[in-house]
Order: sequence, then C-alpha cells, then structure tokens
Amino acid sequence: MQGVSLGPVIWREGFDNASTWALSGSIPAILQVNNSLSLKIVFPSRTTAQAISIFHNVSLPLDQGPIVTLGLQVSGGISYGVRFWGVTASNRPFSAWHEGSMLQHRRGLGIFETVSANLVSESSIPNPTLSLVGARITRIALYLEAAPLVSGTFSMHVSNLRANSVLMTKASSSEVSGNFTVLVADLGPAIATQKLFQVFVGLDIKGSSDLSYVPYFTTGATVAAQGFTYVTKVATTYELALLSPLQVNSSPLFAGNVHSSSLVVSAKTGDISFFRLNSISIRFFSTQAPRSASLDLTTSRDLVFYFFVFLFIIPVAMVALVVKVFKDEH
Amino acid sequence: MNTKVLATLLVGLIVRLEIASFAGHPVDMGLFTYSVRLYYETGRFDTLFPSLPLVYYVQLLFYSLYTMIRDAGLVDLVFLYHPDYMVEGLFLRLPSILADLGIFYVLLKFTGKLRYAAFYLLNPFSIYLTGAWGMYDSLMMLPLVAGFVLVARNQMRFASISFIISGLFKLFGFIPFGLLMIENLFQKRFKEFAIQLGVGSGLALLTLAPYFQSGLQDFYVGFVLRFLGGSGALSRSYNIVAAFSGLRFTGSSPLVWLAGVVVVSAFVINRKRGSGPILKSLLLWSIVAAVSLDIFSQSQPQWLSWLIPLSILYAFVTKRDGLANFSYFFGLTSTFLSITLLQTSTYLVTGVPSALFSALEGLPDALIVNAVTVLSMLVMLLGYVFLKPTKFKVEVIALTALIYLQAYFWFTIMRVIVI
Repeated sequence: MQGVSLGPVIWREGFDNASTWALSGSIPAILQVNNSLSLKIVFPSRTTAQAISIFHNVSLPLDQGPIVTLGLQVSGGISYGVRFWGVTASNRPFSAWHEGSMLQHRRGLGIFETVSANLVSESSIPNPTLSLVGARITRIALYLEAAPLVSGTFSMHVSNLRANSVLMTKASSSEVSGNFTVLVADLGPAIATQKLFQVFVGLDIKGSSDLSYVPYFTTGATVAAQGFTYVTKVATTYELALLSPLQVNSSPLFAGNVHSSSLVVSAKTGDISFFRLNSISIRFFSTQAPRSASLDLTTSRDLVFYFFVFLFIIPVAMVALVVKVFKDEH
Repeated sequence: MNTKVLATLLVGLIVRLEIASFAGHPVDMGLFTYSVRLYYETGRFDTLFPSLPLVYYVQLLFYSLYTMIRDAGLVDLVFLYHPDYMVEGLFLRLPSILADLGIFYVLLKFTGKLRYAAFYLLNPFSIYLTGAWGMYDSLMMLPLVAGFVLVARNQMRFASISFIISGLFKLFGFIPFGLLMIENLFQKRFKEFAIQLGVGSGLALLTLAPYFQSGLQDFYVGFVLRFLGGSGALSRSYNIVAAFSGLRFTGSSPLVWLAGVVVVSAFVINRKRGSGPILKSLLLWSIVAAVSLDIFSQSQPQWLSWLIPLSILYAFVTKRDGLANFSYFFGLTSTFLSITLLQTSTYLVTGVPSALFSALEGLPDALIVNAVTVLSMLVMLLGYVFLKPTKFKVEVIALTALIYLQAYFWFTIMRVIVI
C-alpha cells in the first residue's frame, strides 16, 4: 500500500519567450506568448481533418516521477490534446503518448480546464520495458484538431504549465495515514480481466470535508473496472465501493505498477488523510455480456418486432376483448 | 374455472414465458445469475447480493429446480449476448411470474371483476418487468395487495404480516405497515402496536440471519444507507429534480424525507378528521407515497409499476372506474418510455443496446423527456385519485402524447437545457 501526493514544483513555464515555442502545420495561426500562451487559428472548410501543433522543449527526469499540470481553455467545436517525447539514458528517443489516453482528442469545452499527466505512466504504457533511470522527457506538444467540414475561428489559451515531483508514503500494512491525493494498493501480479464482472471493495476512508474520490481496479496499465464518485458520509467512515468494467470512463493520475493488478483510490476533490483496505472481492463471470457486439440489423429488427407482439399486441388485444365481453354482459 | 378467466390467465402466462425464454436485462440478470451460481457452485451465500435477502432466498429455492434438471442432463444455451442461459433465466424469473398470477387471482377474488384483474396481468409494464427485464417487483406487490385485501376483511394482524413480507422483498411494503402502526398508536391500541413491532423486527432479523456471520456492515452501507439517502456513491437518479439539474445524489435525494413527512402528516390528519374505514386511507396515502418516491427518490423505472395494483384496488374501493382504466394506460406508456428513452429497443432482446428507431431512441437528454412525461402521468393519476370520479377519456392519451412531444421538441431538438 502506498499513499501518493504531489510534491514541490520542479519546473514551471514562465511564458516569457515566444521563441521557445514552435508552430507546426500549414494553417496560418497567430501565436502570442506574454505571461500566458494564446493561439488563434482559422480552420478553412475542408473535407479532411485539419490540425496544428505547438512544441516546447523541456527536460524532466522521469526518475522524479513528474506530474505535468496544464491550465487551459479551448474553444468548443474542435478537439485538442497533449503529447510528450523523451530520450533514454543512452539518448535513444521514445514517444511518451498513446492513442486511447485521456490526454488525446479531448473535446474543447470553451471553459477553463485543468489537465494533468503522469509522465511515468504516459512513457511506460507505449514502452513497457523502458528503464526510468536516466530517462527524461524532452519535448511537449499541444495540438488543436478540427473534424472534416468544421471551419471558423478557434483559439487555445494556456495560462499555466508546470511539473511537480511526486511524494510517496509506503505502508507495509493495509492502512495508511498522511495527506494524499491517491492511494495505491498492489494486489500482486496482473490478472486476465476478460471475464471480470465486478469488484467490491470494503474500505475505511477519512479526509478533508470536500473529499470526493473514485476507486479504480487496474491490471498493468489498463483500467479494468471503475467505481462511482464517492463522498464521505456522516453515518460511518466505511464504504462498500462497487467497481464495474461497464463504468470505465477515466483513468487515475497515479496508476500502480505496470506489472501488477492494483486498487487505486484517486481523490477528485480534497485530500485523503486516512485509508484502510478492509476487503476486496474480485468477481469473474463465465458468460459475461460484451459491451458492444455486431448483429445484423434485419435480425435485430425482426427480433424486436417479435418481442413487441408478445409485449404489446397480444396483451392489448386480449384486454380489448375482456372489456368488450364485460360490456356485452352488462 | 370461467373460460374468460382461464383464457386471460393463459395469455398472461404465455406472453411472460415466451418473452422470458429469450429476453432479459443483461446487468440485472447477470447479478442474479452470479449470486445463485455462487451458492450452488461453491456453497457460499452471497452477502453482496444486490437486493434484500428474501429475494435471494426465493431465487435460490426456484434455482434448485434448475440445478436438478441440469444435473439430469439438460443442455442450456445462451441467447445472443445475454449473460445467463435461456432456461436458467426463465427459472430466475419464475417466482415473479407466479407472483403476477397471484396478484391477478387476489384482484379477481377481491373485486370480482375480470377487467380489473386483467388490467394488471395483461398490463405491458408488468409483462415487461417480470417477463422481459427480470425484475422482482411483483414479489413485493403480491403480499402488498394481499395485505390490503386482509385489511378490508379486518384481519389486521395478518395484514401486518403480509405488509412486512412485502417490505422484506422491497422496502416500499413497509410504508402501509408503518401507516398501520401509526393508526394503532393514535387509536391507543398499544398491544397491537407492540405485536406489529415484534413480528416486524423478528421477521427482519430472521431474513438477515446469514449476514450476522459476515457482519452487517456491508449490508448497512451498501443497502440501508443507499435507500435512506446516506450512501456515499454519487449516482444518477431518474427523477425530475435530477434530470433537470444534472445532480447526482448519494442514494435518495434529501427531498424524499420531506415527502415522507408530508405523507405521514397527511395520513394522521386524514385519520383524525374522519373515522371511516382504514383501507381507503391506507391505500390513498400508499399511492401518494409511491408517487412521492417516483418524483423525489432514485425513481427507478420499475417503481412505477407499484401504482398499477394500488390504483386498481383504490378504483374498486372508491368506485373510480376511470382510475382503473388510467392505470392500464399508465403501464402501457411507462413501457414505451422505458424501452425507447432509457434502454433502447434491442437492449433486453439481444443483450446489447442499439437504437433501431432513431427518431425515438438514443436521443440526447432523453432522461428529461422521460422525467417530464412520467411526472405528467403521475399528476394525472393523482387527479384521478383526489378529484371527483371521472371516466377515462381518449383526451388523456392525446394530452400525454402532446406533453411527450413538447418535451421531445424542447429538450432533444432545441436542447434548451444541456446537462
């Protein structure tokens, strides 16, 4: 069991030198850097997708477990994302991003957002054998993208870009006290999750009055099951959290060991001051329904019509008959 | 048996069995199947069963028949993308289907009207819940309806036991039981009150016995607190408040407590003002309580079904024929709304959601359209209950359709509220 929290700031972008930012893409854009970064772009109407990127060089050692935090605002109607690249101790380059990550192809909301990235996780997922010792992230990119036929003026405003180190508190027992953002319980070697049905977690938790948290069950770098957002209760500190593969829609900032299965309890708001893992029940089901499946449309429609005959037509016809018969008797 | 009764009974039974043989709610049926298999395959009692233990006992009892026929060599098949086997799913739903038949019988005996009994048995919503979905609300409703009939026959002790059994299937059964206890207190029948309390506590403890070994903590946090609004999980509700505000409540919304106080106070005032038969007051305020839960609580779609037998009973007791007719329309519309706005038409049939009729399903903010239409029907139902008895007119269907279309236009096309 280990408690994880954000450590001191190890790097912060001052947004005071425009020449440290490079634009890439054929679409004309206006980049302004003055205590914050502002990118304005006009996407012309095209039948293909369009994108523009801005790059910045950094040097963030991975053995410090850096967490990058961005404060930004992106216009609605387009998407954006953040990508990283780095070099190993022997100066071999590697990509530290992957498709499917929550950092890619995010919908612009037109409101201020805070986006965080765990650089160790982002590097380890596409490079499972990567050694963190001596490796560092050397480049960060922000991109804007427009789907086909999307046109108009759009913007991105970045007001904060920094990296924090990570503080870890390890505990040999199943409980830990301190001041944490995330708790990670290592459950041993990664297990196959193909038939995973549910995970029940019995836990005791205390924290700040605004604490809300999300439990995750991860195997390797994958989130296999996720729970609701939970808040602390007045009646008891105990919670029985239900995690399901059907509920997975995010990933925790700090994941467990990429070779293990882990329970990750991630604070959404507030801090966790005490955590005890009481029980965990991992349930597998031999005939688990898939999340999506392909079925011939005609067959589906025929089955639904057959279903409707028994659900609506026969009962309503019979009721009409019963009502009519009664009327006749009166 | 009367031929018409037999024909109605057979149609009600056949449509349920036919639908139950292939359809089912993948998540709920998965939960039930997991728990019964856990018991019969490993001998472990599932203390994390997602409902009250009495439901589990009944399912285990009926599932034992399934295990016997499996042991005798039955080869069961999975239909498309459902988590359970076809015959297995049928056996899990058998108790609810039999309970539906039981409700039909009790309504027929009490009212003497096949039409009223058919309004329940052949109601698409009750068929949808027991036959298609796999819900067990009828297990709660059978002793609930029997309890009201026993109250009508002045067999109060048996009625209390019936309500307790109902409450041990779904907590709603404790509402008429609680009102009956309040009546005894106000009538200073302390002995009856003590008997009710003793029997209620005894039966509740008896059903919870297997939980004592593993500790009641999980049951308390995972079930009791959830329904008292004290759960820690921020989950989505189907009620109008949540639909409009996008709020996620921890269990029930806090407004349900206010509704509870209003129902109990109104019942007490009602009983103090008139000393008429208790049955009418008990039915009336149980209906209001069910409506309140549908408006202010988690408002699970299946909870709407409780109003159908209650309305039929109240219609018979107060000679409100229009209310009984409305209850059939209420169920029919609830089925349509639940299938199109909350699940999609293929979900229970194939096991995966898919919008076949794109004009009706998979709509943005469908939850609001559902909440508005359901609220309008609940208000109309209260109108049939409280206003002077009126006939069920075709205008009610037109009015409901207009409300649905208005909600559809403003919330899914114009999207005046974006949650």
